[in-house]
Amino acid sequence: MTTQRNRGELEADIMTILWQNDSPMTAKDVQAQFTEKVPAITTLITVLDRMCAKGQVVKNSSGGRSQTFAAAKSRLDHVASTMTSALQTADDQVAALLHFAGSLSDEDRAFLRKALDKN
Amino acid sequence: MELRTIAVLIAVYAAISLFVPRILADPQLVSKRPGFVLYAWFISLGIAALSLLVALGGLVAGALAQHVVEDNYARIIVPILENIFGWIALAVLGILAFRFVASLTELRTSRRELNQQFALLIPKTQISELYGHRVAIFDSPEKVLMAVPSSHCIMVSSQVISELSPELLQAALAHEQAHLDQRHGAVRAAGVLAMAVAPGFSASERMAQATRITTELLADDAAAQRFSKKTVAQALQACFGTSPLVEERIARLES
Repeated sequence: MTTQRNRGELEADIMTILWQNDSPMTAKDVQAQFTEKVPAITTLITVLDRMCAKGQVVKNSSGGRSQTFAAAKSRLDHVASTMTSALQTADDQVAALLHFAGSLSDEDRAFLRKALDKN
Repeated sequence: MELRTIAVLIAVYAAISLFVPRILADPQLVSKRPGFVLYAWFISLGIAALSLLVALGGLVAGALAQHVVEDNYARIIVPILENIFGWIALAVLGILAFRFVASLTELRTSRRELNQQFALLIPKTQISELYGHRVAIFDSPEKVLMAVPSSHCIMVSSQVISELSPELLQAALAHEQAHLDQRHGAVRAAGVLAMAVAPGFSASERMAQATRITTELLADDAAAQRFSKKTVAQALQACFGTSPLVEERIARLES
């Protein structure tokens, strides 16, 4: 049975390959780096284009048929920006974070509201 | 252990489970005396858990004793009942232990993953120190200000620093510092564990809610003691004025 990556996994693998290589790469170069479950070149180009639209990857066209792709941010910058977004929206269901904005649910806030209304 | 003692212990557990949430889940009491409510919850939880565990242990021990000493054939019903109760008690103990260990493992795993991610973020931050706690300042257009109990660290984004006056920023940091000093991460974790071990029980849900609300109010009060209620309210307003998340806390500080 052939197993395929889901879209998120493929994007993560592509980012890892682009970060490992300092110079921009063509879609074929990227494909050559896969050792298992090698994606089709058309799939890779589609996903790379989608990642360009999302700002994760930059595309360089030299006018000819060969387009090269590179990571838009370094791995560290990417992690920092992902973490910042995650922190902004993270809840603390596992009590790992204590936001200044608090982590009170609607039910918790309704409970507090009752106390204020009685005052 | 006598059956009467076991019955008393189970009655203590049941009484705490039934009546403590009704007493401690009073909104005005929580709002006015969050510290008392939090301690009362933990004392009640301790007594209830101890009563239940001793009672269940007593039932298992009783059943085991029946296997060892059985020389009175006239007694048939009681030994059978003791065996049945013993097996039930053993099953309940097993379920509770499994749920506790599974929840604790999940909690620790998620904290470890978070710490690993923070380790990647730390090179991008500027570290300062505030009353023995690390304050990590990182560049971001988002308003992020939080305490990370597992790292004993306060994370603050450049956007928060640029939007708050020095006094309001200090008040906001005092709120986060109170979370770390008063070990609110562990308190919240206890609430999460109580709910994970006994899901669906009103008492555990109420306790989890109490830990969430009281820790926020206690941190607000600690910051208000060092600055003023008005200053903490202004800091919340300046940071999250448009968010409904902080409405009630601001109203409480201003009341």
